[in-house]
Amino acid sequence: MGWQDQYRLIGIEPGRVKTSRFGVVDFADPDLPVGMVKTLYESGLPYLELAPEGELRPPEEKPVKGPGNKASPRKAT
Amino acid sequence: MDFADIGKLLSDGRNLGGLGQKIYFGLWNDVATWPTEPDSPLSLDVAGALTGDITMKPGKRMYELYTTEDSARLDINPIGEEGGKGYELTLKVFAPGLNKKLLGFMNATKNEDLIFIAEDNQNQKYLLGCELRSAKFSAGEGSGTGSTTDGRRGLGMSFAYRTHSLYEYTGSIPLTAAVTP
Repeated sequence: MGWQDQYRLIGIEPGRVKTSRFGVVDFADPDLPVGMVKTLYESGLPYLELAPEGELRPPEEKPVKGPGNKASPRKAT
Repeated sequence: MDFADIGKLLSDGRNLGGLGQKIYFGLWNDVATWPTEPDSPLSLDVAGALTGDITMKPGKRMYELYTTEDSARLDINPIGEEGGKGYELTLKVFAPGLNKKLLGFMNATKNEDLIFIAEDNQNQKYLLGCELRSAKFSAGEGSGTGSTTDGRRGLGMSFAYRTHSLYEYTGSIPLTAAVTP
């Protein structure tokens, strides 16, 4: 999972912020280390918030093969 | 205030002088929120640092200004009468060359209300500007073409900011435009 799955950028366009701990950080980069973003969030950087659970990407589901797994139409009752 | 002993406060013996080669500036009117000053601090550490970050209004950001190595400095000078002492911070920079972008910068800032953040060679930052007062262009020492081929072309600029107290700025510097929350 990338940092954008756990944190959301707020109040600023995706781009550069000079931080005291890590120097210039480019939040347009989706591959920033999650640990670094976590540290910035915990230190109170005002441009990060936790991503709401609803925005977390669901884990990839592997397709299950076999005739018994086809969805059957719901029967009217 | 609880005073304390003050020893040799050098981290790992480091104490390199001078400022870094990037100075950060912006317009005072573009600031949305300011870091807060200590309120009735109980320790010397707390009394010498701002808390929080400077943030900008939507569409606004801070910018970098390159300065020649060992040509920038921040001077801290006490000012005021007895009973009304304060400080004047003077930031001096030298931008090499006389590029039209530099000339435009000088034209645009000479009468403007500004803010600056300067970082020294120990990574300690200083904010010139607060909610009440801006930094102002104050002098242009060393600006011009130089007189000999041993000299240098460029703009030497000084910016001054007056404040009641001295603080370290520990927040971030927004180099990307803010957006509406």
